[in-house]
Amino acid sequence: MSLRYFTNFVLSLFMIAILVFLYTKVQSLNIDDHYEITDTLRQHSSLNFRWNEQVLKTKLSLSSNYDSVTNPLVDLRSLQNKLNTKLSELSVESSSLKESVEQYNNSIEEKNKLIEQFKGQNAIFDNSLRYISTAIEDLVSEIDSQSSSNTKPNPTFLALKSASQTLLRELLEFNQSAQQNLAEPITEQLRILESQKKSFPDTVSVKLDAVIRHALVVVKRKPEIDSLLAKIVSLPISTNIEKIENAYTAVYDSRVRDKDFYFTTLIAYAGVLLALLAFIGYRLRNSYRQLNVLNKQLTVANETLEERVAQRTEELSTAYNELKQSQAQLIQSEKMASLGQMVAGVAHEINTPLAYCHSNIDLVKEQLPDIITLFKEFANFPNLLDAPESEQQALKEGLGTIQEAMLAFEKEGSFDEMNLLLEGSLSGLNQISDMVKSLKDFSRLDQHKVENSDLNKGLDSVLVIANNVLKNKVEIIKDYGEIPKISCSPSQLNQVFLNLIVNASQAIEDTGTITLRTYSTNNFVNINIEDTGKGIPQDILPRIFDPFFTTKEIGKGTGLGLSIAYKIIQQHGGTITVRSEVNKGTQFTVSLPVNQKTDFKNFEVAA
Amino acid sequence: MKIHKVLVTICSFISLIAVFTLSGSAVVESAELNEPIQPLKPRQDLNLEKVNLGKLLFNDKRLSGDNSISCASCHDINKGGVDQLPVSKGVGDASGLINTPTVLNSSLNFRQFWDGRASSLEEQIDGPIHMKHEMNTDWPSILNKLKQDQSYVDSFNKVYKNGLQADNIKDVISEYERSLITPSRFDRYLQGQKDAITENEIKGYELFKRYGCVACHQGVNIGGNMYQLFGVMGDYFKDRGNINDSDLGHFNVSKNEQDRHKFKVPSLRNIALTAPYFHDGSAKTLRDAVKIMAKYQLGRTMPEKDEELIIQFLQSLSGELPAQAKGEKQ
Repeated sequence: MSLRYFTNFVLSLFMIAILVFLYTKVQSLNIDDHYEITDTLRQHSSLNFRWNEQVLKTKLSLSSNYDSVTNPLVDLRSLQNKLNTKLSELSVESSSLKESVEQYNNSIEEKNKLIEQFKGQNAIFDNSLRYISTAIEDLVSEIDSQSSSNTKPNPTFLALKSASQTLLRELLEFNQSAQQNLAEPITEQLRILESQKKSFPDTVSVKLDAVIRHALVVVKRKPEIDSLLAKIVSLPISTNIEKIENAYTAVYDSRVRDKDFYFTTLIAYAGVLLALLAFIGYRLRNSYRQLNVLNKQLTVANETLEERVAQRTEELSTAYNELKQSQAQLIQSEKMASLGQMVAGVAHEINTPLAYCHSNIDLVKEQLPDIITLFKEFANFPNLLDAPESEQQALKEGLGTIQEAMLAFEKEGSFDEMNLLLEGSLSGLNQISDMVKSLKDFSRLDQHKVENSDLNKGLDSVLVIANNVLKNKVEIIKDYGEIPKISCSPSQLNQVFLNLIVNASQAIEDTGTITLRTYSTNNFVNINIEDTGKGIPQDILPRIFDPFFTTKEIGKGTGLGLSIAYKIIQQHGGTITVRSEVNKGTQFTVSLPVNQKTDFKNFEVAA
Repeated sequence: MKIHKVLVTICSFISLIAVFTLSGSAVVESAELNEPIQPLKPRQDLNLEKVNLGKLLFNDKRLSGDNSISCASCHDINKGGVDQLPVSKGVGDASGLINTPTVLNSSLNFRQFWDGRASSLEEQIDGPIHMKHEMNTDWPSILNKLKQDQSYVDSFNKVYKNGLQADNIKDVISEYERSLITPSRFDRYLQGQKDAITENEIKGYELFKRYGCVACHQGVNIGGNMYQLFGVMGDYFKDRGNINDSDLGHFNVSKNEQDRHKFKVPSLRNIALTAPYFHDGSAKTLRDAVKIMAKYQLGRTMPEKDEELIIQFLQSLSGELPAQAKGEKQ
């Protein structure tokens, strides 16, 4: 199961990865970058254009310093950096693009070198050109001052003057013109002037020297500067920028195609994913439906379960009630069994006084005909008195008979005997009456009432009932203490005591003693029944209160006696404990609370 | 694709028009300030945290191999950004090969070093650090030393994601150097305050322009924006003699014969403070320098009176450091 989850997880991760891949591929073409690159290229064009323009302005002396020619390079460098950064950000693998950028950068380097040359050359050239007119002016005024000091005009001075003025004109013309051939005559003239220099006075020759040197600068530097400018302007800057643009556009177009491809793929893939999603959704819905059905079934099952539980509970409670009834019956039958046992003894107990009552009354009945005869003679006696003398004889005879009979009674002591017999009979009848009363006390079958009961009395009644079992075998020692009356079910407790006493007597094989001890400890009434019997072996001692446990032969005991006793005591809130030593005896102690709060309703179960 | 090209064409056309319009207005503006020298304005866009950190490192001798010198040892910002020696003393008292250029306003130079071999301040720093007769060390050793200093580690961590690194050290030092801008009285004059400089200084400025000094010493930094041949109108090196490698100038970088004896035109800002002059420190005074320049660069002789006025003008170019760059001698 976990492997399946893992596979599913990896699969979904893979699908998401593809989606992300396609998305990044589509996004990789940033239109802002594109505009920025084309814009940068345009800036390159315009900056190069401006640079050229500044160079030309400097050449035309429209600009008075070279900062304007120098600074564009700084901007151009940052533009180059920007372009390089942008292109490298694109991570373009295009050799033509690389090549064209390199060509462009090289052409910029070349341009920079040319402009550096131009700056140096132009500064010197410009200065000499500016100065040449001043220099020639100085020369002319020097010539003039020399001429004025001399009275006659020096023709060489005049020639020099006119030559230098021609030189100025020619130089200005040369500067304005693009024709190279104008340089040759000027250079030639300068060579002539140079050769004549020494023939002039020092003051003139110094001025002339300045003129020649600056004129030479103009003549030499002008074509160099022109050629530098021509080179600068003809550098393939625009072409190279265009090359970059073309190479970049090619890259961009291929990227656009790639992007379109990826876009289409992305759409298709997204479609597939959507379909998959829909399928999964459908499956999910089905699963939910099935789950719902199962859920409903479960609910129904649940409800049925409750019904069934209710039914079972009812069955169980019925069974429990039945069990309770059977338990009650069992207890009752146990009671009846023990009673039955007792009844045999009790019948015997009753039989003895009954027998002698019977014989006594028989004896009294035997005397009755003599008494009846006596009564008849006495009844006939008045008639004899009234009878004639003739009958005297009969009177005498009758009197003699009465006398004889009464003497006989006296002689035999019949009246004393009868009196004794009747007294004996009465005592016998009293004995029977006591027995019946005890029996009634013991069983109390007519009531389960809880009442304040004196347990000592209860024990006595039990002893009467059990007398038959005990007599001639067991000596009962009563050690009753003063115990308070307790509220209880006396019949049930009596049953317990009877059971314990009978068990005790049964444990005594020959003869022995049973000691009954009652005493009260704080709020408890204790009944201690101790015998000198054979004792209970240690191994079965823990089981004696178990139901249906018995050591007696089958049919002799139910095995319920002690377990019922235990239960009754428990229901009274009391305890029953046993201590036994084999061959020495057993001691049961029942402790019952004086103020018990037992719910006696339960007694009905036990009763 | 076609539309794209059309768009590009239209854009170029528009930019053309724009350029012409703008250049027209630029002419008007420069006509107002029709001076080859432009006034200096302090940088407002600097990261002060970096500037302060850069100042500490600029003055930190642990940047040299034997902990004996710092950047400031040769570039004392209180001495015009130089040590006022013909050549500087490196570690172990080693003598340098070339006169120390000023660090003040160096950020305005189009390239660094006399021969222009470094295109940026950051690149420049690598030079003296590794030079045997200058600081004679390398970045790993410097980093080892500086990493012992918890306050540097903390400060760099605060400013940079990757903390204390060679590139970041160069960055903060360069940022500090960019703060070393020294506007002068002359700049105030250019900005319209006519009494910011004296009458003589104004005259000196006029001569400066008229003699053609301004042909090369122009722009915001009064130089520092081109290479120029030392000896345009005469062979300076032949006259001086004893030519060494340092005299070859930009040739050492480009190996191009045209660049022999070409040097970066130095800025004339604070020039009165940075004697001796030239890459070889051969001109002891400003007057010597002016004389040599007039002779070899301009091919002119200059009356003493003019020299004096030009020197007075040059003295007006000594500027004031901004507050955060001041203080802390090496």
